[in-house]
Amino acid sequence: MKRGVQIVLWLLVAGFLVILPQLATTNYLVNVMITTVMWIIFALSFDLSAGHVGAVSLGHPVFYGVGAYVTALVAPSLGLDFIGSLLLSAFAMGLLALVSGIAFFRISEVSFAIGTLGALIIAQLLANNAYDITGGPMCTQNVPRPVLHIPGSGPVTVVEPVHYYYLLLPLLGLAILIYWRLTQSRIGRAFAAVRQDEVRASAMGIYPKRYKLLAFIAGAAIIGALGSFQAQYITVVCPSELTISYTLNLLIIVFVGGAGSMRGVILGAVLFSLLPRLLEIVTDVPPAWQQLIYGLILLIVIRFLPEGLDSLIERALQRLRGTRTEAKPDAA
Amino acid sequence: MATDNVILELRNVDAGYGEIEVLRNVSLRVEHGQIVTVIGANGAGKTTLLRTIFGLVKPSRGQILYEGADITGLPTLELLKRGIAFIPGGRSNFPQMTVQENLEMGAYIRKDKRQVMKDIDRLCERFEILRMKRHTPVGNLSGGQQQMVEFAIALMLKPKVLLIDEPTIGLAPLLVDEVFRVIEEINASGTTIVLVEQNARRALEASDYGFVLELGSIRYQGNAEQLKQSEEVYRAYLGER
Repeated sequence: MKRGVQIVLWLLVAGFLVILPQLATTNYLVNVMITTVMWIIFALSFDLSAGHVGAVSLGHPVFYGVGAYVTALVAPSLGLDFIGSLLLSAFAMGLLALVSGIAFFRISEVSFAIGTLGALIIAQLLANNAYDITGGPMCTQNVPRPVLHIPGSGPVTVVEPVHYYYLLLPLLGLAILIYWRLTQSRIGRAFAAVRQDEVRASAMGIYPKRYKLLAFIAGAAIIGALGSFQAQYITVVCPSELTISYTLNLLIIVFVGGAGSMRGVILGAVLFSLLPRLLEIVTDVPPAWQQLIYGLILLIVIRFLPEGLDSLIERALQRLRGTRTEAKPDAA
Repeated sequence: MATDNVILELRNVDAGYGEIEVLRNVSLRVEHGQIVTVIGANGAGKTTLLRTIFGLVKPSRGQILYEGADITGLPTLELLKRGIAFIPGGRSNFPQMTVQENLEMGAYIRKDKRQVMKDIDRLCERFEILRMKRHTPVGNLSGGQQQMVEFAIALMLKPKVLLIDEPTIGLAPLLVDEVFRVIEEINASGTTIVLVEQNARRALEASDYGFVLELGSIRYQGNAEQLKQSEEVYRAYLGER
């Protein structure tokens, strides 16, 4: 795609996202939008390591939940504002990813997935049982809401979902920018090399561990910031933010959408967030059945579209352009 | 062997993985411009030897010298810069990238982008298969074609010493000859080659010098001709006469 066209497209999308809440008639719809954007950020941060360096961290929600706890427990005592809390959580989770990553990347793919899953379960146990610190199942409550200082008027406390939505959009922009900068560059090439053949990559001076760590840390920092947003949005942080069902949802989003593709991951996140709402409206499907439907969708996609829905789009685009069809596998 | 002509030398090297020692007291010398083959049974330590020279396995004892300088324990990146390249065994390329992109990856540590593109053009001139498949994902090529790409990736850094691990594994006999032809051609253009091969007979035919590795130690060494003549080597590694 030509660069100019790309920029115009991005601007259109950005404009659409800015105008969108004005069309929403109820707070419920705004909440759906916030949830959708949050899942996009969540999935992009997960895909950085899962889709690009091939390190599927089943414990990814650790950085979300702990990031939320950092904002709830630490940020107020430091007197940090909205952005300060976001940065603190992002930084803390980046650091946690660095330290834990050095250990986790010593073990190979499958063990890495299970190891990080173990970390998630431990984190949830800790959150549930460290009653004095986290409040356990009673949650950490009364997380301060963001206070904005608008010139000309006094400080304004953010309460309305639509205002939260506008606070969240820049975070989405930042997540997309980081994702794009890391994957569509020299570094992205190295990511692909590490994913496709680790030994050969290291034979060419690309140290796999460094690039895996980089993707892992960047993903953790992004999702740490989102956890911080969540804490200041809901004003309560519970051990349930460290649930394994987040992991399952991430797997569904990324692998149904298309791992390693920004377009695919965003598509997956949007479908995942909007589909249940549609099901509610159309057929009143009980929530328990939704999981079953997701499972079926995941099975079908893995069976028939192993590269995700994005491969469908890619093929359609190529057909539209007509010329650039991929060469057929060689028979020789 | 004249010392001044030695480009690579191992002195009493022990190396292994954690507690497991694979190489024991290995000493060898590789002369400039030679093709040197290391043969040995499975598990003798052939691959570990290459990985140790390339810095992927750190020796627990001994010294590795390259162009007279001690390179023991240097990171692979530094070795690449100094002119040692390594082609891992098995399929070792980036299957979802095109031939062109694989070659660009080969030059990842180089900064001179324009010259890199020229070098890719030149390699495509030299190897017909690269030219024909330049924009095809490497995963779509046949085994032999992929092996050619793997050589070409390593050549992007214009190495002085090329370490090659089992280049003919899984290839049809016709392609084996083609692979050795390319190895000889790379060598003729001035690159010293250290080759690990399971096809010992064919490898010795192409080589100047050979080492036989047994249980992590060098058991025999000599000119390729001498090794082929040796009764013991013949029985153990080259099959019945």
